[in-house]
Order: sequence, then C-alpha cells, then structure tokens
Amino acid sequence: MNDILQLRNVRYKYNGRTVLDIPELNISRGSINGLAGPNGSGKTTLLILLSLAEKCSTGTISYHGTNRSLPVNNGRYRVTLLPQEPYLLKRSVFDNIVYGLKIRGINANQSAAVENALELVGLQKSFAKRHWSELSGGEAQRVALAARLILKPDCLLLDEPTASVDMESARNIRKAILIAQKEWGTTLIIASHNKSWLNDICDRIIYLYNGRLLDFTYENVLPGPWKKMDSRLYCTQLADGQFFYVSKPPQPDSSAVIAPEALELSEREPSDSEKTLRGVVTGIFFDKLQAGPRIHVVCGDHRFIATADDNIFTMEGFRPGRKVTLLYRPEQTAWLPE
Amino acid sequence: MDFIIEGLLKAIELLTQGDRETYSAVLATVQVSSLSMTVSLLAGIPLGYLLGYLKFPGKKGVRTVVDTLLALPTVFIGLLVYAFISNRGPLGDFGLLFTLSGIAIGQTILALPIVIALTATAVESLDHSLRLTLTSLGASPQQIFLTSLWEARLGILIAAVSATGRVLTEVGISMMVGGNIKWHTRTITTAIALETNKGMFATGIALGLVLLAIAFTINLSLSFLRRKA
Repeated sequence: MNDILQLRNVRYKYNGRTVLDIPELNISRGSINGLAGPNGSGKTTLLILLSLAEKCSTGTISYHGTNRSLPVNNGRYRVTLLPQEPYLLKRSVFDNIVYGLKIRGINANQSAAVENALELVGLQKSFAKRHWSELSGGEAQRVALAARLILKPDCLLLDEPTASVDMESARNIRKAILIAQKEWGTTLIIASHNKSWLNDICDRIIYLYNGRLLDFTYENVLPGPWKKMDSRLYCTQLADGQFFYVSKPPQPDSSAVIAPEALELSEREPSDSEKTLRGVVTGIFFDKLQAGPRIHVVCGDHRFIATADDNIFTMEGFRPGRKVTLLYRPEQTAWLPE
Repeated sequence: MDFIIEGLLKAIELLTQGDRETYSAVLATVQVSSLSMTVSLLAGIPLGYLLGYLKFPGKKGVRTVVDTLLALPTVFIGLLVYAFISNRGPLGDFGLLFTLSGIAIGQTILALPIVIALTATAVESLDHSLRLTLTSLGASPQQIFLTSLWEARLGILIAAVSATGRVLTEVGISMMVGGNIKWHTRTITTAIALETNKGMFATGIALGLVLLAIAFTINLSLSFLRRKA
C-alpha cells in the first residue's frame, strides 16, 4: 500500500447540489501533488475532504488504507490543512505554533520545537513572543504554516499558500514545504492558481473543473451551448467570431475539452478532417510532467494550451506575439460528465 | 442648586466616615448581585455558546425569544417572582419573599437572557475558518468547544459586564421582591429611591456615587482585560 489517501466514488453535496464528484483518486505517499482549476471548481472542498476534516456525502476516503467515513482528525492522524486565510488564535505566536502539540499532550521541548518551526519558515526566534495582532499578512501565513510543520505531518494540504503574501514570504513558504517533503517524507497537496509554480515542483497535477477531475488542463475546456452545423458537426463561437467545431455533444450545453496534444500549432495545410483556429502566441513553457514544450495561444478571449513539433521552435520569427494557426480534429474533443 | 452641593458634601462625609446604613445597602447590593451574576454566568455562557454554535431546527425561534427577553421590564419580573414565592405561590414554602435570595432569583431572570444573547452573538461572530483550522490541527470536539469559548472571551466579557450593569441598577425587582427592608434587603437603588422620596439627598447621592464607582471599576477592569487579550 503506497497510497496515503484514496478516494472512491466520493461526492460532496452543498445545499442539495453536488459540488464535487470524484470516482477515484489516489495520493501516493511522499508525493508532491498540485491541484489546479478555475475558481469554484471544488479545489478547496477537495482539500477539506482530503484533510479528513469533513465527511463526504457519499463514497469513501481511506487514510493509509483504512476507511474514514467521518471527520476523524482528532489528533491521532497527521494530516493537516493550511487554509487560504488561516485563522490565528488570539494568543501569542508561541501559543499559536504550539497548539497542535498541546492538544496531543506533547509538552516536552516545546520551546525548541517552536524555534525550529519558526526557523523553517524563515522567521526569527523573537517572533515567538509577538502577539497575533502584531503580524503582517505574510508573517501570519508563515506562523500558520509553522503551526502545521511543528507536527511533522504525514500529509500537508495547502490552499493557495502564496496567493496573498509578499515575495519573501512566498519564497520561504515554498522552501519550508519542500524541506518537510524531503526530510520527513511529507506528502504535499497544493491548490494554486500559479500553474508555473505547480509545474516546477509537483510530481503530478490534478485538474478540477466544476467539481470533476480532468485528464488535462482546464484551460482547454469550452462550455456549451453548441449550435448544429450539419449532421456531423456542432460549433460554438469564440469572441473574435471564429468557430470551434465538435462532434455531436451529449447535451446541447455540455462542456467540451480538448487535450493539448490534440491541438497542434503547425504551418502545414490542414487535412480535410482537420479544423483550424487562428490565434496569437502569448507564452511558451516546459511541461515537466509531460516532458515537452507547451504553447499558450489566445484565440478571441479564450486561452488554449497547444503542442507543436520541434520545427516550429526553429522557425524564423517564432516568438510570443506571433499570429499562428492551430489544427485539430473535432472528433478528438472529449465531453465532461454532466 | 445649593441643596445638591450640600448633598454631595454630606455624601462624601457619609462615605468617608463609614455610615453603617449606607454601607449596609452597599453590602446587600454586592451580595445579591454577586449571587445572581454567578448563577447567570454559569448557566448563560454554556447556553449562549450552544445557541451561537449549534445549528438546529427552531434556532431562529429560540433566538427571537431570548432577544425578546432582553427587554423584560424589571417590575414585571418582580411581579412574577413575587407571585411565585409569596405565601400563596407555588414556591411559598421556601420563605424566599423579602430575602436577598428572592431578589437574586429575579435578578437572575433579568441577567440570564443578556448573557445568553450576547454570548451567542460573540460565538456567531467568530471567524468561520476557526473550526476548520482547529479540526485540521487535530482538535477533538471538546477541544474545539473550549478553544472557541476562549476565542470569544472578549464578547463574553462584554456580556457579563452588560448583565452586571443591568443587575446593579435595577429597582423594580429589589423593591417588589425584597421589600426594601432596612439592614436586610435594602439595596443601593431602593435606598436611593426611598431617600429621595424623603428629601434626604445626601444619602441618595452617596449611594449613587458608590454605584458610579462600582461601574467605573468594572469598566476599568474590562479595558485592562481587553488590552491583555
């Protein structure tokens, strides 16, 4: 059993509406996992469920192979979550950091443990004496992280840990969690909009869209409704008037998704079965997980992630800002479950 | 105007020379309000916490009832308690009428809704991420309860101070249930009412000054505790 967390047929309902639907998800022990998706895609809900702080409406969540159907985070488990806006207790920094140890009845060497935790997040020992209200946003975030790191967690979940902090704090937070992963084998699950950061440090990125897992990036999702063109093709219109074609959708307003590998930036003429999109290159990055270059292309108001063969990169004048053509086959689009 | 100034000077004299009658009313007030506040806080804080923390059917209704009880007139409470503890009432055998304990029962009825309502408000206004933070740090339900209570301590302190202020300054309950008996159930407020009726402003002002001093001490303590928190 190499998985620290396993989700099976997990659904979470809020006000009668299913906001998360995960048929299967496994998190490997010691791995670094990114969680990416647009706002409202269910990242925070998934993190809360993975932190065992709340129960799912249906399905099972297993921790180290044992089924957890209730909130079980009662100190015996070393899974901890750093929320996007962590709450600091109205006490000193020392008392905040040591809280997790105290409730576990660990009273020995607290001062040394607090000093180590502060050092890990790049704060001086003297911070321990400060009152919670004397901290800046970045310092508060680092103190909250220190309160988790002092527990030497098996699994640390972070919700947008660097979204609202200064650059120095962001750098220290990143450094601290990577040390935890390296030294203690802590499994990391990080929800972030900063995809380049996730791409740099993660072993795997989990994409979410409308509460469901995607096999690839959510940027290539196109929502309906779809207009019938002929017996075979349907389309939706982008903001610049271009059409994106798909085969028959399961529902008129289903959302389509196309893999970056199926969206090719090319100079060649399209075949009869291929359609084209005109756009502008806005960026190029290396997808470490797919071991290949990816290109951001904006078509109308939609940003796609596409692939290209190596010849494109040696082409004269190829750079961000260049107008390019993307080729794709309508039948290669997939449909998101309703 | 002269009689007010004369009253004030005489009041200072009564206080500095330890007038027994004046200090008897002060002692009765401190005793009865301490008793009623102890009961109100012991019962009101847990009830207020549960009302603010838990979600249950009919919560809004309970909240409305508690909020309505905030405006209970003291004479009405006095009337109710009188009816229950007088010889003909269901609790008549306990002999509580015209005793400090009888007044304390009425004052508890007065203070309890204040403690419950303001504690519930303090708990409701706690940051919604507190519970998630504590759970994710590994706290058990009991630890979450105690930590949340401590986090709401300022609001609970304000609830206690507000209720104490109301209890110290009420007249209706003390007058009706206590009977304003000299050396026994005469409190500061009933003594002020009586002395003013008699035209004895000095004693009234002296007792008023004591009330002000108590209120000032409580508020000073509150400011100190607020700074410490």
